[in-house]
Amino acid sequence: MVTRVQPVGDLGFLAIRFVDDLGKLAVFTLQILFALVTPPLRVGAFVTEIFKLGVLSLVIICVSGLAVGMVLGLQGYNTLVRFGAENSLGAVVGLSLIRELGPVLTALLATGRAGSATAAEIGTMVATEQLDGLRMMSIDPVHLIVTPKATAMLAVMPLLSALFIVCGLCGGYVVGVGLMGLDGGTYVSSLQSAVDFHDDVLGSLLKALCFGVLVGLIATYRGYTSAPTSEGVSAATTSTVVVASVSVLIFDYFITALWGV
Amino acid sequence: MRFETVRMAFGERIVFESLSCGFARGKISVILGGSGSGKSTILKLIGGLVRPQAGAIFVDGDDVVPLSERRMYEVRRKLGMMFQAGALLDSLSVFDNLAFPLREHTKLSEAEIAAEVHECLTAVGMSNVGDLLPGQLSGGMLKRAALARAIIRKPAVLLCDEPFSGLDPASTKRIEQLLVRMNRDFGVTMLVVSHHIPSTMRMANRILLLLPHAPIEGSPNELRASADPRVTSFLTEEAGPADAAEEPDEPPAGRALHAKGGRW
Repeated sequence: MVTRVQPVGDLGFLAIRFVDDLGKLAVFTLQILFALVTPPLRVGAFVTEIFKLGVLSLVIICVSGLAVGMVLGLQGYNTLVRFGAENSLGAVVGLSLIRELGPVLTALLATGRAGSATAAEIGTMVATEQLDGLRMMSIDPVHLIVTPKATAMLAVMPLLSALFIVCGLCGGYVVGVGLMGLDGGTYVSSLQSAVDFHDDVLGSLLKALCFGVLVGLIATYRGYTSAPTSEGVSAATTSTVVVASVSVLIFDYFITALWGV
Repeated sequence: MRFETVRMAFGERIVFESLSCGFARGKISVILGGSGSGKSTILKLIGGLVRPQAGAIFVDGDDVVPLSERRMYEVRRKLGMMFQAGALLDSLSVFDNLAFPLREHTKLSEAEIAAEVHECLTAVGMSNVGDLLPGQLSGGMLKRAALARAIIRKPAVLLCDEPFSGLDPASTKRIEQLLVRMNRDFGVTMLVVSHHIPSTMRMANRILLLLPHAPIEGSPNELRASADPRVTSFLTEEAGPADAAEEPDEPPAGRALHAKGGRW
């Protein structure tokens, strides 16, 4: 009897823990919002985080964007040429990158590169009592440490996404025009006529902004609530990558379905 | 500071079932006890870093247990805490670690902050390490830097977690003298967690000995004269043969540490 009921109990426990976690995340978000409007403004810390999360991610974003654009160019050309529609390569590469791949892949890359680093850094500060040290100095760690990191993630995500898209378009151009012999003007004009600034470009940036909020919150929350041990830091880092990546993909569906972006 | 029937547990592990004790204002109180007896937890409870399951903890007349985190920040302005492992910000130099609370909470100029930091570092015997990162310090130096940060805002209450562990004898003496002087000249209330029996016996006004089931309070002389075998065996074992034989000194006079303008 106990064995039959056990899975139901486990499921209930998981559901309660999930709701409890969501509640804590909501409170944590409110703390960040409150810290945002509480002086002093941490401009220096914010700029430092922009550098750490944004500038230090430039190489991985550029290289990945270029590679994805080249693959898209190659696959797109080989498919389109079957239907005699290779002149639409610019539109295919552009729309794919701008509407979906740019924001999503950037968010996944930023999660692996910057999100995990954020969780590990805050988690280490928890484990070494640095956050408790701040509290004892009457300094709110959410104000000093967490908020600049979360807001910097929010700020850099659209920028990194835009950079990824530009690199991807260049990659598609290199393959389509340089390798496959497509006319450069045709590639660009196809791209220009297919992409709508309001629906596609602004929508893409909005999507990236949402992913920035998501990744920033999850990374800082996981680090902040990590167990004060090296195992706890490791678990926080892993869970940041897993939870943030899955959340990005799930939210991507809902944003696309509900907002049509 | 007063604890009233405080119950504290971490998960299944009960640290205090019903702890009641007091720490007098302006005095040096030392907490002794075995590993895991809850010495550091008492300091964290006073600072509101952990909350008990039941009971009341009074700090300067206020029960801190029901206080919100925001109200707790106001209480903490009266407190300074030296953590066992230092808890210095590892991305800042020692100088910046000490300057940090002053930059956050005062309107002092950078020159004034530098003077304060230099004075505190000199007081703990570390005047030439301001540029180093915490990761470049030895364990003993880390402790002294942490103590310097804890005292730099001149707290009314100083909480010290194992200030003497990992220190060489000269540094131990220096820190002991500093603590005694701060207490005597500026009336700083001190709560010190320590395993160093000779220092404890010299500097403490009161001692709280955390023994299983029943903590024992008393002055150093009372504990020394105690016939309770748990007390005598704890003091002997913790002190070791050499330390146990050491005659207790009078509290050290302490060296004047640039006491102008109400500083130590």
